[in-house]
Amino acid sequence: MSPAFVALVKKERLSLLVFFVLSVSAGWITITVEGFEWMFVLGSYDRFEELTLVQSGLALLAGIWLGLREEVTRTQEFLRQRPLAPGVSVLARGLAGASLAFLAPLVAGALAIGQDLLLGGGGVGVRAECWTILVAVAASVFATFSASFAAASFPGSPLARMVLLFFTLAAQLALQSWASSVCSGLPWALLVLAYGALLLGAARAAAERALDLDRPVGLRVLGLPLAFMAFVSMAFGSLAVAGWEKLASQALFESRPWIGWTSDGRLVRCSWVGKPGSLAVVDVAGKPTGEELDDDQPRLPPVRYTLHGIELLPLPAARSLWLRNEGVVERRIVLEAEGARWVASDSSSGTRQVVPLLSAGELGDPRLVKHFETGMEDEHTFLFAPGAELLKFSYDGPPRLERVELPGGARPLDTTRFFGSTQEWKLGGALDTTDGAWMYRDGAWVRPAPELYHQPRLGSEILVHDPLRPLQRVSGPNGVVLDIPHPLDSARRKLLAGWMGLSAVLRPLPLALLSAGFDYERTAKERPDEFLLLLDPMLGGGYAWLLGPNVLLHVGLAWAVSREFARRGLDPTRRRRWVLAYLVAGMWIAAWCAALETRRAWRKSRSGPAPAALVSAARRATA
Amino acid sequence: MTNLVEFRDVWRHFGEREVLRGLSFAVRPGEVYALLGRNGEGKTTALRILLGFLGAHAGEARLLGEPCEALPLAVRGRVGYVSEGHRLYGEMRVSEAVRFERDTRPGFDASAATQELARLALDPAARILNLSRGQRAQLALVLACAGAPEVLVFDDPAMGLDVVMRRELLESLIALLAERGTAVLFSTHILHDVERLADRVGILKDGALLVDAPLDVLKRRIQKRQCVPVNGAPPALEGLLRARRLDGGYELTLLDLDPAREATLRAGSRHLSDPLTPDLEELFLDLTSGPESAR
Repeated sequence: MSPAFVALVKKERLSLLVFFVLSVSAGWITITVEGFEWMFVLGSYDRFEELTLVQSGLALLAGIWLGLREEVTRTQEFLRQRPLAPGVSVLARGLAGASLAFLAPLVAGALAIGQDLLLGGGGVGVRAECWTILVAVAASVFATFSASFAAASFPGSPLARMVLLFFTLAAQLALQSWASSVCSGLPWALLVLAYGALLLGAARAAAERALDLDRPVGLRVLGLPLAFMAFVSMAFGSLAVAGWEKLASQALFESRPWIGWTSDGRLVRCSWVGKPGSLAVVDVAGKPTGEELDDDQPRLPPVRYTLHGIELLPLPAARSLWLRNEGVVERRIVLEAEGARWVASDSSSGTRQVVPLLSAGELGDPRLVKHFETGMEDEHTFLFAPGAELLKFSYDGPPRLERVELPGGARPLDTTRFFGSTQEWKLGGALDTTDGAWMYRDGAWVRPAPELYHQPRLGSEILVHDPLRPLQRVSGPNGVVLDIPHPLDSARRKLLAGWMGLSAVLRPLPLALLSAGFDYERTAKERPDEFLLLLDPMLGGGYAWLLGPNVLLHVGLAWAVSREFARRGLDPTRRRRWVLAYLVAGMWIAAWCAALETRRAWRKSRSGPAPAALVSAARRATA
Repeated sequence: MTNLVEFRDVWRHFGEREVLRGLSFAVRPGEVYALLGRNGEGKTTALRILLGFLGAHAGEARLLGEPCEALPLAVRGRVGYVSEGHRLYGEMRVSEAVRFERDTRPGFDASAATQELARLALDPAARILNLSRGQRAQLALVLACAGAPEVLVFDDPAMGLDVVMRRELLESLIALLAERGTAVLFSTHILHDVERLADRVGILKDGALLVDAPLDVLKRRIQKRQCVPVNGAPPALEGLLRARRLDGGYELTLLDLDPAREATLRAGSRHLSDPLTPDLEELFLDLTSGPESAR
């Protein structure tokens, strides 16, 4: 490391020290407050997300400060006048800050582990998983620092910096969302670290150019970053569109009628009537039959939309329970031992609906996730360890697992749900054992009534996988079958369908083309709970004609931009690159374009001839 | 002789406003060039273009023979610069600032700088933010000069300093310049300093160079006369830069008044004074002031 590089880092030591101390302290406090065991032993996603958030917030501020530091203190010229490449100065600050951003969560974790060991936490702190989580958090914080630093030090207008910050952070979130709902795992951490390093490199490259709002960024400088911008904008645009489409799709789904199973063994289709608490039974075509049913059971609000998987909830135990044709429950279904009812979870409803849940991360992350919010304290929650060992969470002191013996040495056979395709452990309330069904009540094992335990379930099959108008077949336990079309038969549904269609049109062109080629039906069958973020369900699900408007929109935009840029005086090569960027990313690249190719930067210079000096004296010729 | 600093028809605008319009001048080795102008006339912009902090929209600026758009690092090492307001890292101590210069500027003579700071009685342990403006200016000057630069660029080095501080700074600068044949380009508002230091002045008005001449030439070519016109109106005379109304007459600022025009002026005046040699401040005002200017 050259003396100049060291001097440039040393110059920032006060800011770096403050950031590091604050970050470590905040991390340590967060781990302590959130609970070491919850975070690292039980792997509560929410809690280490909290840690990531706190650390990232500080890293964001530190990145902005270090990026703007010379500008705020107005020392950029004092620094730039020396014989150092401007990028070196930026790199020194960025690298030092990013390294500390990475180290801070690890140091905070190490302090928490030390605290756990010293204060008798049971030695759980040495679990290797702790470090995996901490590295993942550190990688995320590193990338957040790099993003904010790159944006703040970008030699452009405040608008350009804000756009850059927004997009780089959005891309990081997208990366996280794509990799897993749980930001953990070494590959993800490496990916995010690489992303952060890329941003630092970009900051260095950008710093080589002087800050000048009145001159366009050179084509050579713009080249690679433009490809990056187009890629990031495409990813961001696709995610944004997917978000809207998902909302519309969910609303469309919720507008559909309810399907239920009455206590007298009928499968019926119902719709709301004006009278609160009642449902009108309608026929398959949606026409009222004149029959009304009381709706005195808790309704199951959707928590997550899945476009195509329409899944029925299990039937209730003793009484008829009206159930939505929910595919939205994210498999959050569990047998609550008390009363043996199946209940779906909704963390946002505020009601306590027990679901010690067992959903895996999107890529099959094996860790227990989200069980904190689902009432893990429930004494009826068991873990099936490999080898038929039965474990139970104990909350006497720090939460931990303890072995449980079944009556008479029975061995557990099955459970209601499992949590992760790669995980052997299973979790359940009531158990099938070699000695029949057992439930755990008030510290003792009791026999559940068979009719409360082995409940029949409705079967469901999608006959026509249409994102807007699916045809569903529901079958009851007695061979009763109901084929239910879901037409767009109301203004609201048509509007929502239009919204979905518009989303497909706004999807960036390359992903739209890719979407039109994918087999929606097969994907829907294989992964019924997935909402694909990058591929469009409409384009792949029978509405490929939307590709026409999509292409028209992108080509039109590119043409309009090319025309405007020609008017401003951009050279053809530069125009071609922007046209390509628009074709790749669509309207989502517009913010970059507005920030970089400003009218001001392309203003024509030299309004007329130079005025002659009034008094001008030539120099005497000297040797 | 090679020009160490050279502007050739440099144009620059900020948004819709043209700040430099065809700026052309040069500074030779050992020459002290003062760039003058009212606020917002483009002095700082010109210096920033010279140092490569800004680009020109047209024309070319060269420093030590290299185009300023892409100054090689080695050339930067041969230039000393003191920015407007003497911006330094406030949290550093004086000694740390010297070490920072030593580590980031090859050729920087740390011992010479330390000696000079001792001569100026600047405490090495003092934090820069605790220094007075004058001390900060002196420190900035020492740091800029201790690298033995071939070209020194100062952007309004005396701005914000009181008379005593300015005088001290000037003494320091003169002492430094006396030892070397450094070319100096500086912008300033303090015209007395210019008269003491500068070999040549450039006066910017509306982004264009109104004057580019040695100070003595400027004073020789411009003269003031007081006159009482026969018809009460100031004479329409070629070379009349300004006519300022006085009691019963006018004070005229005239450029290159030759005998023929003097005769015309005399013929149209009831009274015409002998030539008065204006000082630089008066010249500056005459050349750059607005409403009464006849030019």
